[in-house]
Amino acid sequence: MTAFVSARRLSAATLALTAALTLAACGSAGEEQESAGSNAPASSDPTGLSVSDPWVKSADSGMTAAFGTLTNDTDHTVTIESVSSEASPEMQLHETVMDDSGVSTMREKSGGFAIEPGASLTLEPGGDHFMFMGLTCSLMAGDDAEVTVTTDDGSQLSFEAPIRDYQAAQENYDPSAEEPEAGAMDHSEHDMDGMDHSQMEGMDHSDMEGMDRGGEASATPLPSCGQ
Amino acid sequence: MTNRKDDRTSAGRLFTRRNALIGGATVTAGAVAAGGINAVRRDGGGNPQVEEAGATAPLADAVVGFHGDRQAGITTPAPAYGNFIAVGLRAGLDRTDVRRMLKVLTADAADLTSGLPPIADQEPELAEIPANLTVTVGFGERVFDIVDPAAKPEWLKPLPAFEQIDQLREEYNGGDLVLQICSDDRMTLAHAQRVLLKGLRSFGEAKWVQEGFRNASGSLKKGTTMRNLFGQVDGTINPTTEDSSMDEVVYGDLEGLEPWAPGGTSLVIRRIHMNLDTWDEADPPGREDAVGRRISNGAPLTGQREEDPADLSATTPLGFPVIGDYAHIRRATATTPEERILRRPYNYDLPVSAAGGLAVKDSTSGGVSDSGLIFASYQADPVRQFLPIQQRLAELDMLNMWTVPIGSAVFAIPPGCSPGGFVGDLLFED
Repeated sequence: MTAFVSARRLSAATLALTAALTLAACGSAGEEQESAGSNAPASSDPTGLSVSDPWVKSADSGMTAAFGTLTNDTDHTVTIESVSSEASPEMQLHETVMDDSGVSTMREKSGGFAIEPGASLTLEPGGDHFMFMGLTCSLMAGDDAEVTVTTDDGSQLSFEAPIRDYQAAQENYDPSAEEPEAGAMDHSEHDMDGMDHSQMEGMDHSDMEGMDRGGEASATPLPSCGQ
Repeated sequence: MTNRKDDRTSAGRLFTRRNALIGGATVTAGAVAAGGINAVRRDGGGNPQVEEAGATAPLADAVVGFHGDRQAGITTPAPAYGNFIAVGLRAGLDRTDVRRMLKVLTADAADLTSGLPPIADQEPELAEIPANLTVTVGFGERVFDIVDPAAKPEWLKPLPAFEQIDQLREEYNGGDLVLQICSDDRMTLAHAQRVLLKGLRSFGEAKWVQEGFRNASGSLKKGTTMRNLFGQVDGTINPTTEDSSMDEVVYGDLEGLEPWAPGGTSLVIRRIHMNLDTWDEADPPGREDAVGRRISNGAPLTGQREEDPADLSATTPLGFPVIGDYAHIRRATATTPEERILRRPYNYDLPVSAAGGLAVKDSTSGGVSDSGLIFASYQADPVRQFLPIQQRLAELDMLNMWTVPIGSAVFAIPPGCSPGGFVGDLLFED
């Protein structure tokens, strides 16, 4: 089962407060009210999750990442086991942790993201995120990317995430450097452009030319996903 | 991310949010509250204790609603700062690209004007104080050429050259897209401008940026006509929302006028260099004679108060016109009901290096100042409404002694949009 959510601002907190304001805001046909309308069944969403402020960093090939906040509206723990998108045949759940030498490291999250009842999972640049491992088309600013998360009971939540150009979140993840067991991975992400950190050595700087498009390294931009 | 959510769940921010939703190009409760606080301060009569008691941050929640049938930033009161940015679109952009661009622009503008950080804002704290921020979007010819050539207004083209007066510089002319960004807080404006230009980076580049200012928020009573850097009251006899004149002039609700789209209008931007050094050579009577108004309060030379109508037929005992044949207000006077415009100008005053000496007449450099006016006017049809006035002023206007137009641009302003739409979406309806 797939629940489809397109509005951008969907969270339990927003919903509750919007409802509280409804008396005063009576008659306004605003965005929040629309959100409230589409969010009203969120608790009955098969996944029990709601999403707020989702977005995806634009890229015209290679890898990129999705961000946002997922909230567990149920009274039991919900685990996100996988994520998928038509724009990439493979997507991974990534977490960012400190390795033994104190370096921030990105790695695949084994066992998925477990969200406690009422808690939220925040996906943000430099932190946890959903990784598009190999784009088959360009995700271009101003379009929306559809992302589907699958939880431990097999139910799914799909949402549209607006795509934006973004210079940070340079998630160039190299799975070939991955160790057999989940552990410290090679990585090169999360560094502001121009910060000369040693851990950026794995990063392909040839993408600098492509920065004006906000995208990652790209010899040949792929056709737009939106067309 | 966390910031965004916190913003929405704090009481103050939601108050703002709700106002943003209700208001379609209207100034909402934040501004009203500000008025109330000013009143308290006045009542306090300078008692510092009382002032302290009322010392909140009135601009922190001052929101001008973004969504509506008409774009904000036109008939809404002009904030203290106004920047005008013309964007040149990249070669090869297609209809889909322009659509994506306008969606990003609209989403970011809607958030920023509500005091919310847009998606992926890397300095979200700088978005928290709207301070009456407005973002108004206009289209040059190229947007229509790419998206919907049939919808292009006939008047959307450069104004004819006014050879008597113009010294136009390409760096201040034209543009494919214009953003007018206004706010009472310069910090807010700087952040909004950066966010919007970042979003536009993959679609084009800023061709020119003109930064303007007026009096600070709280310096003048509401509704006071601004002064320009010549010291003149500048903007008397503007149309108003208190009667039908604003709808007639700006939105074409007048026989003989037709808006290019319902809720749409046009923006003319003329960058006018003002030679303050040669203006210094004019004595008070000469300054008033040039304009036809008193410098002190803007009253016509035939009246006592700013709002008094000018009597253009009045003569002196010797038989000369009181308001000269060459006086600015005589030359600018409408000769038909159509010849009216909404002036919403901003002053500019650029830093001058090696400032010294005196600028000479018709020069746009030298002296101790590089100052002028970003003349911005809104009207349904610039050719029918603005052009006849400008032609008369080019032919004869004593003020031309001290002013030189150095930039000129015309844009079509699309209607406002609903929360589900984007600015310019009407061009994409098949």
